Amino acid sequence: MEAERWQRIEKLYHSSLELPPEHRAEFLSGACSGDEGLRREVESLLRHGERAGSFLESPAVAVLAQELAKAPAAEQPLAEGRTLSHYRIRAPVGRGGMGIVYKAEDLKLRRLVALKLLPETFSRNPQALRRFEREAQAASALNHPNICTVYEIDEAEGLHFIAIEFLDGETLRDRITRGRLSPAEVVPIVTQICRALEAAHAAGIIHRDIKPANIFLTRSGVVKVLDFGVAKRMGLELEARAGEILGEETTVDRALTTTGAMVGTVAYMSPEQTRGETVDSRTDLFSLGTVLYEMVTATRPFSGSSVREVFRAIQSVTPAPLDQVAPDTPRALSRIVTRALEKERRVRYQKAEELRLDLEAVTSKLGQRTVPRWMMAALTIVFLAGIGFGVWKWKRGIPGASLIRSLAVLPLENMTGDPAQEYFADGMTNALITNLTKVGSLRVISRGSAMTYKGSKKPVGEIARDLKVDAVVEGMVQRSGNRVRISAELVEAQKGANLWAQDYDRDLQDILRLQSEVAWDIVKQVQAQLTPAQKQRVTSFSHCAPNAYDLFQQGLNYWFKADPENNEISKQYFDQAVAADPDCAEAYFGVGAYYAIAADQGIMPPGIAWPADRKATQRAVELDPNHGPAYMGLAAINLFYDWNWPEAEKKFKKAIELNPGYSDNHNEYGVFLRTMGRFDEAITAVRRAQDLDPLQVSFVTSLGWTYYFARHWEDALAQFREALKRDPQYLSAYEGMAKCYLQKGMEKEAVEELAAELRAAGAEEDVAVLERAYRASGPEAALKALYTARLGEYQAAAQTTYVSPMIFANLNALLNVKDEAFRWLEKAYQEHASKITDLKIDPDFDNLRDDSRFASLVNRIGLP
Amino acid sequence: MDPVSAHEVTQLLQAWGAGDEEALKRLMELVYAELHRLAAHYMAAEPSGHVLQTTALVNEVYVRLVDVKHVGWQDRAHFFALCAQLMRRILIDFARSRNYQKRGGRFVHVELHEAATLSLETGPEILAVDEALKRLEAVDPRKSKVVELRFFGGLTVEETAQVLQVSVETVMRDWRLSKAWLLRELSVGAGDGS
Repeated sequence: MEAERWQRIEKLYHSSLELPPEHRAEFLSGACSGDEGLRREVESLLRHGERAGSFLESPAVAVLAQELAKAPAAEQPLAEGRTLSHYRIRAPVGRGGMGIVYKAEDLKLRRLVALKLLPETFSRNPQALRRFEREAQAASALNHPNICTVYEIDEAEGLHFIAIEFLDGETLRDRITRGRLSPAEVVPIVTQICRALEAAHAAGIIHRDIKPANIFLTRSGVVKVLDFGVAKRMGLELEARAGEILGEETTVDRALTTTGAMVGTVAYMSPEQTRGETVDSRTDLFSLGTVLYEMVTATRPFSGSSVREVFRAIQSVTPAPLDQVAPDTPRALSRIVTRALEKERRVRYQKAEELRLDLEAVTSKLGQRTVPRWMMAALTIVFLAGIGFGVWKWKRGIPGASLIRSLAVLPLENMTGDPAQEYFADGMTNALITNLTKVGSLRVISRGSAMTYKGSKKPVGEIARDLKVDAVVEGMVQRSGNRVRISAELVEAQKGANLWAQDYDRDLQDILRLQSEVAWDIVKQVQAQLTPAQKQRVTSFSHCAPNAYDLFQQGLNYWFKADPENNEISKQYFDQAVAADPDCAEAYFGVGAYYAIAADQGIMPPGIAWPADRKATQRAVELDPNHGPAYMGLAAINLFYDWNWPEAEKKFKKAIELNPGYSDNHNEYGVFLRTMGRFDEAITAVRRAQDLDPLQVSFVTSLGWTYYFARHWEDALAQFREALKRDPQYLSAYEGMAKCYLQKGMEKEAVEELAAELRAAGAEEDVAVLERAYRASGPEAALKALYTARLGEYQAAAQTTYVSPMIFANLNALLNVKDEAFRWLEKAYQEHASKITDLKIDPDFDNLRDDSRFASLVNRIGLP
Repeated sequence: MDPVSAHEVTQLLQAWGAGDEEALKRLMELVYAELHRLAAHYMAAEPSGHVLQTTALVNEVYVRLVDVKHVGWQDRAHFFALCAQLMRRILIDFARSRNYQKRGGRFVHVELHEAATLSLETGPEILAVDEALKRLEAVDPRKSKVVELRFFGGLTVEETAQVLQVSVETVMRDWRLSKAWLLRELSVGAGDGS
């Protein structure tokens, strides 16, 4: 239809309408003067126009609303409490690029997720569905603390959804709309984006759509890269990105002719993307450069009113340097952006890691900058106050890393999902902690306390408060085939700010190197002060064949349980580890540790256990002269078996020097000191162990015993009470309570504690015996009955297994059967039985003290 | 669900107006959700349960979507125009989704000119309106705009006049002819002798 004819029709139509209907036909036949087509056209329009109440009368949007109101439940936003598959909807939290996002609870795994739901309208659109699935697949291939985790993609009740990690915070886009970010805010964010890209690129995945809307800033400070929806495997296809984002268009040319479209999305594209060339990881770095630029200036480096204009800008315009647009920008940061925005890929940053390292260098440089230098620099610029403020914020913004003096390594999570691999994750946790204990200036929470948080859902802030630490290290471990992956992150406790996150992927062969590398990275992050020797120790590592090290870790897992059965099992693994690699220090250390437990618990004759311990541990130290725990093991042999006090003290000190943060070192040294009667030093040492391992109940009782031997009954009682408060099953604490009460002359209370101990141990019959004796003849008789019963039990046991003579000596002393007591003590002396070193300090032997045989024993042992 | 922030919509409309297609995507979701919310709310308030006070509803949608207090009149007219375009896009989308539903199923052709209002059954026909409107645009862009604003956008004659900066009379004349033309266009092939 031609415009001219249409105008005639319009004129005739309106003229006709002004006439009464009966005159219209006449008017038209005259006006059309033989143009029948024209007449019919106008008449048909008149006829249709008469139709009253056509659907056009009510706005279509209202019709839609009406339909929506009647629409089935699936079209409605999901109601709170509704379940979809195994997710329970909590509340809608936002609208993503594709659909409504709900906060939901995973009923299976009991965790919060974000459920990204495709609207029904999109669900029916195969193209949208493809995009949706692609996003899920690409992202789920990546597992990194800075990449939003995709848990699952599924369909239920006709609704398509992705379950992703629940994030609390806002997108960078939202953040930028509130105003530009200070360099101090920018650096930690971009550093984390770099880490995400490093991981993605290593996996062969390019994001290809890095922009502020795809960067999520969580409240805790962790940055997450979202929407790997357009990410594709590197090198798979020719880039058709420019066309792709225009919907079905496939050529850049067509994109260019579509004026006014897509300006927002194309603003972050790289030059190669705008030309439709193949992209690689460097494309993401260019986009990151544009994002960085926008963060600092709140304006996009490349803009235009049409796609064509934006493309032209990306291809040929060099944006003004950052420090010109935003004068408080550090020059180095400006240079980083300039390099990221190089049009030519070869000149640009080649790897995300390079960009990150440059950023980190800027950070540390600024951190070290002295005030006078800054004043001088500032004087050349007018806004002195502004600059000063910028520096101040900058320094504070690198979020207090230098203020971290204590940290806890939380049990690394086993990412394989295979419970049989737990020991591996636990072993890595333990190794990481031990490595960190080499730094003297850092208070690192010991394994015992850290492991109490295994599987805990407790917020990091609370854990940090429990342990009184400035920061925590969290992470995940995965071993598959001969690769081992660790994702670690360092979280500042107070604000929950993520200070650092790193992904490691190594050959299992390099596991010990990896452990030292992770520890060293953390040490660097917290800027811990350390001596050159300490640095050397943290960065050095011994060698172990992977299978030997694995066997060692499995053995250690049993050994930590520290009961006779598990100790026996651990021995099997340690022996196999030695066989697998006769040069593996850890394997020998394990063997030694097994014998130490056996000797300490009095279940193996000392003449067998200690020499075997020495042989293995000595070998461990030869293979790894920096093995602190091994030195501690040797020191214990000097103390308990050799009675060589100076040598023991030398080794304890060496162990502490090697691993100043290792709690066991301090506790064992405390045992040595109390044996020497140096109680004040002993108390200090055990308190140090407690400080490093605040949740470890055995250190609480250890302090209790130290006070007890120091004859501070009240202090001892307080510690035993505290131990029982934490663990009512901690039997030796009841024993300690009873002994303290006895010393205080409170026999009744002592009996009560012993009854409680028997009850906790499930020995109800013994409780009955004790109570009967107590009612019949009083507390002293009850105690006597109990000691006698125990004596009988041990005598029976001695028929089949080794029982330390010290047990018989002790019970006979308590029963005041002096000759028997001395007989057993003499035997204990002969075989260097454990705990005979306590002879001089142990109140249990008080009624033997006046005897000349006692003095003789003390002399012969050489106790000071 | 949180009520849509009018401020946010205003910003998005601006972005879309400047060519940001991402903004459109988000707008469509926002408006769709808002429509849905309001519609359900209005429906619940109806004793009969199935008659909607559509005019009031549409008014409310606009009040919620456009930050009237914070934009000047010029902008407001511009926003109304954008909203109408947006509604058109949403409706097309909606109709298409219905079409997907119908495909392969029992498709009941309802003669449009006999239907007083669009309904679920006539969903696909909205695409025909869209198509016809494109043809109209080729010969008479203003009339096509009038239909877009009135039919898709739900604007009153006065609002339409303001947006297009023409007289109310012109809008009424345009609207009248356009309706007649559209009805005829849509009934072609439906047995109407023309």
